[in-house]
Amino acid sequence: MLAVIGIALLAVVIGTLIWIRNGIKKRPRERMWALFILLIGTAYAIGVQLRLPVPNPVDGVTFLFKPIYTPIISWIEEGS
Amino acid sequence: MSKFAGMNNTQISAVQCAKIFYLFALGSAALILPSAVIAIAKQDAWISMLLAGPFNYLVLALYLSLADRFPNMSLAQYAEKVLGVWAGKAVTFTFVLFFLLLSSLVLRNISDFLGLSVLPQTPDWFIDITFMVVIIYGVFLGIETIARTGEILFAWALFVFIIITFSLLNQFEFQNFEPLLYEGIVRPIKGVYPILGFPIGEFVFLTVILPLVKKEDRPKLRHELNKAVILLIVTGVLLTVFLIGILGVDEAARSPFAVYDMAKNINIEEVLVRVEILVAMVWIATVFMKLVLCMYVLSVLTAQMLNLTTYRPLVVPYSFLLVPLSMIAYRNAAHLKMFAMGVWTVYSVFYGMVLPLLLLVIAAARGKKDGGAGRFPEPPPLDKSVKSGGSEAPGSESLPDKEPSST
Repeated sequence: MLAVIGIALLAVVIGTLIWIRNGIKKRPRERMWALFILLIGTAYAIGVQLRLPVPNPVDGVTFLFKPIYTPIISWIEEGS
Repeated sequence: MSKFAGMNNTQISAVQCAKIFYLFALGSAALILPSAVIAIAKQDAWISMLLAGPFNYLVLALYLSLADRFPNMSLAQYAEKVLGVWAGKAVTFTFVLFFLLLSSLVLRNISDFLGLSVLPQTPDWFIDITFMVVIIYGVFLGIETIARTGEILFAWALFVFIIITFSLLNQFEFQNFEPLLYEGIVRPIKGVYPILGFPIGEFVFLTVILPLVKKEDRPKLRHELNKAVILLIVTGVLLTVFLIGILGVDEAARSPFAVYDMAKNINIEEVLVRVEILVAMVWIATVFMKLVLCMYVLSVLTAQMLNLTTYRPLVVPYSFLLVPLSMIAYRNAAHLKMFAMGVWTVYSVFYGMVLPLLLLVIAAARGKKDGGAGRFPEPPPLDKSVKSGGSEAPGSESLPDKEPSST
């Protein structure tokens, strides 16, 4: 729980910094995208911390390329 | 306005480009890859390393011909020119995902290594975050600073590499190589497979770095990169030869960080012993270069995909995503081996070779060629300095009189 609060606090601090800095520089789109990525990252970090079933890109890639790499792996491992 | 304002941002020289390329290629592969190749090709692994050499040239030729066609544009920009805006953005988005995963895996490598060898009691997330702070700082400072850091680390890497090879000569055992090619050439060819993906496919980061090389250095670029590739092949082959000669096939294939374990064996008359921390230092340095370049490319590609004026606001948010990604990426060491040596090659070859080749073919077929100033996210005639400057970026030397920091 402490970790979740820490992540959230850090995210709020960094989000505020991004908001202020890019507000001064008049970069609304940069501000929007940076905060968007920050939001995803924070949600992901909290999800990982609470052991929620967050998607793991490694498993996604494994699933996606399974038909290509399975024959290659079996060719490599044969006779070893 | 500074005289650099029109061309904006930064430039690196051809030699610097070659050096950061070498460090990136050494990167996390130098310590992990040889044992994977040895596991497949046994005592002929060094032949696999040699066989993989030409692929470096092929990949570089691909990127260089893309860079010839669009000299001032990075992948994100010419993908839009070649495929049309929205298809180009979609392709760039998949590249962004590729670099996101690559960065998190590299971060995972370093935290695994530090956790196993030097800091066994420290939790993963702490190592990750402390490492990320340095990375964020480096990416904020931009490619010039990264390149100059690369020049320093390059000398260190070579120095330590030479020390290790020379001080291990007294333990070299030639009978470890003995049944040379005992199953024909097929086994070394199989050994090439992990090399294709692990460093070679990841060289696609060069498509973002190449347009930043100085105009007057462009003719030298090919030559310098070729020198770096030769050095890279020599390093790879020598590392593998020493691993087999000193640890033997079985131990080298089993050890998670084989070169580090090999350096533990250094013993010259009980005077020069236990210098493996040198390897750890240099490996952390090369992994730092790899991760900093990955983060840089990731932020720049995203910024160019979204037409932002600077990549800097994206760096810290991305690191928020990277740390948890790296923590859940692998479940255990067996999962790591399965993924990094089996799946990753296909994924990485798809992005490092297939997609750039497709882009090149389509560009050639449609006769697209554009010398226009794409350079960075922002259009050149921007009236104010485009560097974000301010508190996070004190070291941007190329813009001597940028606007005063405003925070």
